[in-house]
Amino acid sequence: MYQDIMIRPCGDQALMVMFEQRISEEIHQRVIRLDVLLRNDPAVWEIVPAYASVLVYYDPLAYTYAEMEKRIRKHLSGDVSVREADGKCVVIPVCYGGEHGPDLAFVAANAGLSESEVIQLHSGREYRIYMLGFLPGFPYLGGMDPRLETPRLPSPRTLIPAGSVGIGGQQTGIYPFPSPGGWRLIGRTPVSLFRSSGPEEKVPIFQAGDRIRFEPISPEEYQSMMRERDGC
Amino acid sequence: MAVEFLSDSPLATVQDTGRIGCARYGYRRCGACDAWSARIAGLLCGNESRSGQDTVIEFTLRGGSLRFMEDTLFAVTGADCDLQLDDAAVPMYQSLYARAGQILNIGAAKSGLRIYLAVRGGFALPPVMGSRSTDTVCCLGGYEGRKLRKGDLLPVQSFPPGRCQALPAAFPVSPPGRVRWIGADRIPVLRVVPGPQDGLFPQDAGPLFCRSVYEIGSDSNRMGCRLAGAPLPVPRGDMISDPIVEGSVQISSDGQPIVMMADHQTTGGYPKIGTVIHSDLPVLAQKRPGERVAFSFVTVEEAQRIRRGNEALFKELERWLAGR
Repeated sequence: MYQDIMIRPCGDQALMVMFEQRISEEIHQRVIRLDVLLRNDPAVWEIVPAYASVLVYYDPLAYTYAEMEKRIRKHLSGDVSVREADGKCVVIPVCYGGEHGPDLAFVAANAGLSESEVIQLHSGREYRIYMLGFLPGFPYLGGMDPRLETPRLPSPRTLIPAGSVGIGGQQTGIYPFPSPGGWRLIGRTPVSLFRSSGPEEKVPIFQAGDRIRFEPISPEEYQSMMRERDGC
Repeated sequence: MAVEFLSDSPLATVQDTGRIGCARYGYRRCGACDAWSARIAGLLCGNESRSGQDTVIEFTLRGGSLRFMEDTLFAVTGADCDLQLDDAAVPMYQSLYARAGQILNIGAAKSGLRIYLAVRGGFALPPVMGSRSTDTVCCLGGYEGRKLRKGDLLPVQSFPPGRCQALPAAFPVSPPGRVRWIGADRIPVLRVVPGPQDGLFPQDAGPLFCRSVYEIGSDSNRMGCRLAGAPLPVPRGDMISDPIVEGSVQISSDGQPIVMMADHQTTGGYPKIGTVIHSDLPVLAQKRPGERVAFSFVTVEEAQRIRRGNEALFKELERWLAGR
């Protein structure tokens, strides 16, 4: 049953578990299931789940590669509750268009839709988080309506404000930090993507396996949420 | 206690053993590129390898000047350079006491690329996600998330005084490894464990990779070492992005390898033919643009045997330094 799963070394202290290499919810559920099971394994130092693979760091002084491969195979046949592997849905309020989403008109024109139809399509569904990467807290989301597919900017902007929501090709995502980027910006969220218990811990509010739903808010709501966040 | 940075260096950052455990959130690991030299520097100061005490300053190519605000035990390791404490020349690979007010001048690297300075107790900076390493790409950790500049005051953890100790002559200043001679040139051979995507490459890619000699590109940095040599045949089609480790050898679409270094992105979409073993990364970290390296494949069992051997060397060094 698990013969289609390939395990290969990534140097002397990590290995990669590779499922069937395609992007699908079903494959990703298996990724997250393994992620959940490995969290309780004392031999495992660090786990990085992605679209169709899981990177596992282990202590090379205590375990050989062969021992680890065996452990992983055992985990793969282990059981995990659906609830645990199912993740949570995080609602992200977004102010679409205007100064926060300067490319909304372009995305609409490109799709042959009105701006409000774009907002409806973009916010009207849940997106699965396949992995975090590129920047801390940057979610790679799946499941965007194909009608919203928009080519990237011919040349990237030098600075995109934190919280910007954009579309790049078939993908949509949120910029957790100010950064350069070539995606079309359709809106911005006033909420921080990190639950911070001080400057030392900046853990994203979501992780791989969770889902995101965007909720349209007005510029006034955006302003008041921003003020609340800044504590004034 | 503190150390004042007196000169602008091209790239000097605070690093430690890396931001471990949060690649799943997208955090880069960072840490000293030449972990071998950084570890020796810490051990010479009597620091333990736990969080906080394992901090060093990593200088690239050129050193800089620092003033010790209090009596401080320090050690410099890594790329070969001249050291002056006030007007006196002092040696590398030895911990020394600087008196309050004394200025240490670290010269340019004469050979090698990265120089490490450790101080007794380590630098007392706030950790971010458990590490004091500077991530200059995401602007977090280390000293205000950036490279060090003139005027910066780095707090030093107060700590009981240590002893001045020298590295025993028998201890290798860089990890023992393989070399290949091409004429009079000594080319380090970096050992690579095949995987995870070695199977996707055409069959002749592996042998060509091990036969070739690669020159380190001038656009190499703490994120990756870009190499130029005989282009390898690459797999057809795109692959689905997956996680990367330090040492991953990505082959870009033009067939040239990029070895992922400490500041690498956590995920990537190029196939990886193999991973440079942990023990050989410090060798690569000391190579300058224009210098050459080669590769050879080893099994993961061999790589782990080398890893255990090197770890035993350090344990022995720790015991030796503690016993004196």
